[in-house]
Amino acid sequence: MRNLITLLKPNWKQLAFGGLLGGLSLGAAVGLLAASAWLISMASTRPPILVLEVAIVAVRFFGLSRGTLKYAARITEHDAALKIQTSLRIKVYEEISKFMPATFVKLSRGNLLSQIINDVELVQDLWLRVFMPWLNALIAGVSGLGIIYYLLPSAGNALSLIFLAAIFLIPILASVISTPQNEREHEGELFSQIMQVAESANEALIFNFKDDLLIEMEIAQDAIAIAQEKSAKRVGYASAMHILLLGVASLTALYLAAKGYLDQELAGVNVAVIALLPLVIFEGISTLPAAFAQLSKILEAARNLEPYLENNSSQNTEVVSKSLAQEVTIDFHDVNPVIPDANCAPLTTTIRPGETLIIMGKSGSGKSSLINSLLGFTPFTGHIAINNEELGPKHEDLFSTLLQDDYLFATSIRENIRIGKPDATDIEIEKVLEIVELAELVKQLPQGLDTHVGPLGYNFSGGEKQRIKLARLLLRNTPVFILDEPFEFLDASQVARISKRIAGALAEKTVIIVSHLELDIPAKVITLVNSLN
Amino acid sequence: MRPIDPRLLRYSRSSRGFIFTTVVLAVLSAAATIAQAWLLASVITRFFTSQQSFSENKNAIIYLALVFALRAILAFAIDRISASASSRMRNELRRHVVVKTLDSGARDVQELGTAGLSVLITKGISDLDGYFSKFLPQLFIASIVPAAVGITIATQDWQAGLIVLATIPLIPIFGILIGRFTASATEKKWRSLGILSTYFLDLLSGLTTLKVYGRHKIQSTKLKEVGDAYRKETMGVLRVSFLSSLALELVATLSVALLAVSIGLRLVDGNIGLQTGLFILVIAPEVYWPIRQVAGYFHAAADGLVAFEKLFAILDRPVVNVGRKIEKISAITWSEISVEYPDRTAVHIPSGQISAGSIHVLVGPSGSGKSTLANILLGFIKPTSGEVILSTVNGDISHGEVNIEELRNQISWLPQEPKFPIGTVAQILRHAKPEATDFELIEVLAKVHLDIVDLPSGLRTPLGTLKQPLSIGQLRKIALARALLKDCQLLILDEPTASVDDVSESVISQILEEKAKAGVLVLLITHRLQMLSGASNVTDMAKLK
Repeated sequence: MRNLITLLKPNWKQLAFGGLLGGLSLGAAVGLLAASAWLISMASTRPPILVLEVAIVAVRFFGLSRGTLKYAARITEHDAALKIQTSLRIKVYEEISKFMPATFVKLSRGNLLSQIINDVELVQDLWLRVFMPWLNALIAGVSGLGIIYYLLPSAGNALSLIFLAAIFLIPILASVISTPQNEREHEGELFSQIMQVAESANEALIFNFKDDLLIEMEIAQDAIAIAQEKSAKRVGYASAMHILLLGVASLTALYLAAKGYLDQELAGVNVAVIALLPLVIFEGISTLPAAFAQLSKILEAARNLEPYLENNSSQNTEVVSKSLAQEVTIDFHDVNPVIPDANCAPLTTTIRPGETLIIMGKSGSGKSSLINSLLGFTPFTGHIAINNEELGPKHEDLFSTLLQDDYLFATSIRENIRIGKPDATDIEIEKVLEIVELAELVKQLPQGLDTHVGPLGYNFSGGEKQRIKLARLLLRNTPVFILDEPFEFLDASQVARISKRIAGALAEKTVIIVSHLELDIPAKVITLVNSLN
Repeated sequence: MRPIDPRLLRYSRSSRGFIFTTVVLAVLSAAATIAQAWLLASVITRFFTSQQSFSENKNAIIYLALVFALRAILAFAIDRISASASSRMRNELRRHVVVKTLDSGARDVQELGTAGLSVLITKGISDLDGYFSKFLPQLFIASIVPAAVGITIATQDWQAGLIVLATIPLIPIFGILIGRFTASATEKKWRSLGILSTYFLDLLSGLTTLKVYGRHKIQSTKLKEVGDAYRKETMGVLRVSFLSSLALELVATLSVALLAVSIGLRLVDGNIGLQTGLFILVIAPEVYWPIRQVAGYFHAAADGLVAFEKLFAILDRPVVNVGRKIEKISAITWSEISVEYPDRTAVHIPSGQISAGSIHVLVGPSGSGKSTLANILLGFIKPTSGEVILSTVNGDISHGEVNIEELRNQISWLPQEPKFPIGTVAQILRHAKPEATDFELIEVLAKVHLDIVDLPSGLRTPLGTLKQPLSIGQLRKIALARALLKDCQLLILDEPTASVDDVSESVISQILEEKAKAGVLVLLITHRLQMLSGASNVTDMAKLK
């Protein structure tokens, strides 16, 4: 919560101003009723028309200002909320990227990422849909109670008590009692079920597990329905309580106004003002039950985001002077990645500039883990030395890596390839596309390099996507290149041609390739064996 | 975007009873509100003009208390009923959409992407809550309460009734005028919101890649740029769409002000009583309140409504499942086929034939459309031109004419990127053959070189969850085992050796030859030329180019 409030800092004034405008707008409704009630009561005593002049002007003024103030309030609040939202997104993004990679690997599987995105969207409601309406109701209440107190202090005191009870108890009733803590959890569950349906719809048709998927979905839906039923009940109680407290306030106002008039503490024309004002003072509270029913859900989202909002100043603050080596020799000495269910012989070898190491082995033998150790993603035992220095964060920039699950972004081919080199010209891009035999295809596409790599890269085949990733890598200029299964989904003749061309392009570099295919390029080959398999 | 779509009533049975209940509750609410105003006005008048005390009005006060109690009960009932009805209606709608999606297979996934489709079915339908639980009931309340209150006012004072009558039509007119202007704007906003969260998701999903490319820091700046651009666009839309509520608000408050002043002036002349005046003052806002609420809820519901069109596009798709039954298939023959995809070059498949007892191998470079043929045979894609013929004992049938569900029961398949539902290895394998014994399962896994002792919990090892402990290679072996286990007439294997280094080509060839000998039609899709040995039938996709 504290961290969320820190995010408010740059924009809290604008947000508060919006809240004030909204409160004044409800205050105008209070004024409209007070002035009208006085006007009608006064008029019934048949005074000279001049006496009514001020009230008539006040009624018209309040009538006009209510809507106008509300419009200004909504615009101001929304603008502030959107600004806060952007800073929240940036903060979450930056923190997650700091957490890399351990947490991230966990996040990227399943629906946790999309949950973070939903949480970010939900938190916005905290200001706009929960806090602002409450503030507005409070401001309106205070202005109405001020008028009542001015006219008849005893009524002011009594109604203030009832109003305070309402503005605090109703939100508490709506948000706290029988909180469905697990509604969001169930929603997450439903999302993964639906994701499964979408992903495995084809297989479900062939292997007949359609009904299984539907049953799983029904279970998730029912759980949500039960949670929603509970929260609907809660909102219902809170709404009922609102009307009951309004009734209590109205009857109290009637009683005190009658008494005040008989005791000659209150002018007769003000009886109607005091008796009717509770109706409009309580109007602002009417929207609170529904708003606060969302509170527990929003706070849970905020709690979920908490780890990404903390200022982990311990991480990443010390500035590492990056190594600028042009040529790199890598020494592996008894290196063994720490992974469960594996028992590999430790690796000891040296790769010098201009040399290529090919790591082969069965699936599950720890090939990729070895690369992840080099990148700092997986812990390992033994020593890795870069130009005779212990491997560390300063060496990060020396590597160019093709990950096994390298990601293509939902943007154009050009933008995807430019991640390798942000200022790459189309000529440079064409050159690397030629190496991976994509230049022809891209030329044939109606939109060429601007062709979108569809949602999740759907429009291209597996082999084409793999080659886009290779092209992106080849634009880099670092002393070390690491390629994890670079030739997946390519046919043998393509592999033969492309691997030779890549070997040529990287002839001066220190290259490590993980592959289960035998490659016909000059290289040192090591085969990993997992003795548990 | 119509306020009530008749299709909604068709897909959601709960909605009918709900609408009826809402109308009854709305009538009761209106009556209670009128009674409350009447009692308040009469008590205040007696206090002020007759100087009566509180206790002298005991009866009226008790009635008033009862009216408040009734209103509290009604408020509880409306909240309760509309929320649970909304939850029921959304669940019904979701069920329909999911069933339809499952029936149409790849199509929706292709059009919207896995994430897009999942977001539509979960968040898209959840967002309809505002529409179901707030907007829909309010729409009925707004069509009953203002009329009832307006008529009541007119019976008390025809001049005030005239003012109300004159202003009521202004509200929907303003609403429609400004609503029209904002409908397209809302859609635009929704689209850009979609782009923004997709962008954010995309960025987070590719974070590892950005990190290894050292490009993750620069993205914060980009995120800010995109966020600011989105804010400016949204605010532009909101400035206009809030205008409609401004207009409604102005009409409502100004007419109350107008009524108050006119009543005040006529009171001075003695043309109207104080009680009537106070009654009209208290009740007049109730004419406008429900209509303003509808407008307010409409904005909340509009976001959800955009999803409607997409949902109905899925729901309204006709189901064709009436094709002819098929008997034993002896061969599958296809003429030259082409398939056009949006945004990429068309795929051409040369003609070919799979006949019983032999293996048909489809080879070709990546991107040449090998998987497309599989998708056509499986009924997931329709060819733009060309035809597939199934030869059976009863003669030839065009692929498009058979009952696709029945045909799929006769096909087994290893997809290029296999996906599993949540379940254990045994459960997943038994989808292919429910009656298979554990021994059979272990045997088929051994056939594809997956030793049961390599699976952490043997046949009970969980799949498809966050905790699933297997490597990509092991998952592909399970998918291959699943494909081999199913009793079928046609077996399609798409790249069976990808990511699995120790299931050699010779192992696969041997298994497939066994299958072919047993009379199964086999289609093998591969990019490895080595796999050709033993194949009697080859289509080379590259040849056509």
